[in-house]
Amino acid sequence: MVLEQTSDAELMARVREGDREAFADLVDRHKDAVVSYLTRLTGDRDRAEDLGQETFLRLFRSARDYAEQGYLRAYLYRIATNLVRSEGRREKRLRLLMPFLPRNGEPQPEAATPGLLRQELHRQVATAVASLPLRYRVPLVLHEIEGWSYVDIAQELGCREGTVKSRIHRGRQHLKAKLEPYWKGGTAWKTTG
Amino acid sequence: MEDHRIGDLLRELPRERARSGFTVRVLERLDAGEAGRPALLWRPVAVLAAAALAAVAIPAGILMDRAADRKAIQAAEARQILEEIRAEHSRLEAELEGLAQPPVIYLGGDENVDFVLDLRRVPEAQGEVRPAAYTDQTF
Repeated sequence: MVLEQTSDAELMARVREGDREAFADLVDRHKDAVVSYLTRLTGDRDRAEDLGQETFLRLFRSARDYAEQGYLRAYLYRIATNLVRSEGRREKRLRLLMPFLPRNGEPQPEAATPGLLRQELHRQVATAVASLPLRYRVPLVLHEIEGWSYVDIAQELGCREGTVKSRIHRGRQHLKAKLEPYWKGGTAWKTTG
Repeated sequence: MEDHRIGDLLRELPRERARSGFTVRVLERLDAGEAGRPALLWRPVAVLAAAALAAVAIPAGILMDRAADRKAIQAAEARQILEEIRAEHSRLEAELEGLAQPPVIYLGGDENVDFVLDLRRVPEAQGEVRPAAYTDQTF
């Protein structure tokens, strides 16, 4: 017997009525996608987890205003993207205070071993992605990692398809420039055997 | 490095999974938020947000032609702005809630530590108190 899964729209309708069980089901259903998306946007796993929780809290709080369009995940990604944008603004303000804060010392790079090479590659790529300007980062992640079409991204971001293509292209160029030194055998990837 | 290689590198990144207990933590935060969440400002801010949306949508509607795709774009932009207003509202609301707490000023911090100034431990100032001017030299 095949049990039909309750649709997102049905669950959201129940969430609108304050149904916490339906909300928990939605969180369970989309949490991995949201955390993965946020990890790619921020380059920080812990922050992604925290922002992911905040994303769902905002979904719950804005449930009454949610207009069903058949694709809840896009709505969640929009909330998540806005959270990252707000965090960016907050960080700018925090940087003004940095001279008054004690330093923890520069992080020491870990020694690379051959077994860690792929992990290091992922880390470098993830860091490079997270350092892109948000206007390039969001469409690049949605297209290359989440597999969205240009049309869908344009609709979501409220811009033209050509703009999306151009931003993705420029994002790739930025990434290429950032990763080129490693690609060409930079010291960061040399191993000690 | 070729463009397609960049795409390959991105797709090779491992998919992350939410940590166990994620849903429980969301529900706990929901409970904590709902309990101490006054219904202040929501309606006025909703009206303000609607006015802002109208301010964006109406001029946009006058200017845009009848092509359906452009309408969709304008609507998406308006939705985006509304989302940003809501996000900003949530942040302001959180700050307002913070003001109801003991008189401390948040100075900043990072993932591990927050720096706050507890005003109850600051001695009363003698004489006239003037606000510091905000200049490049302030920091």
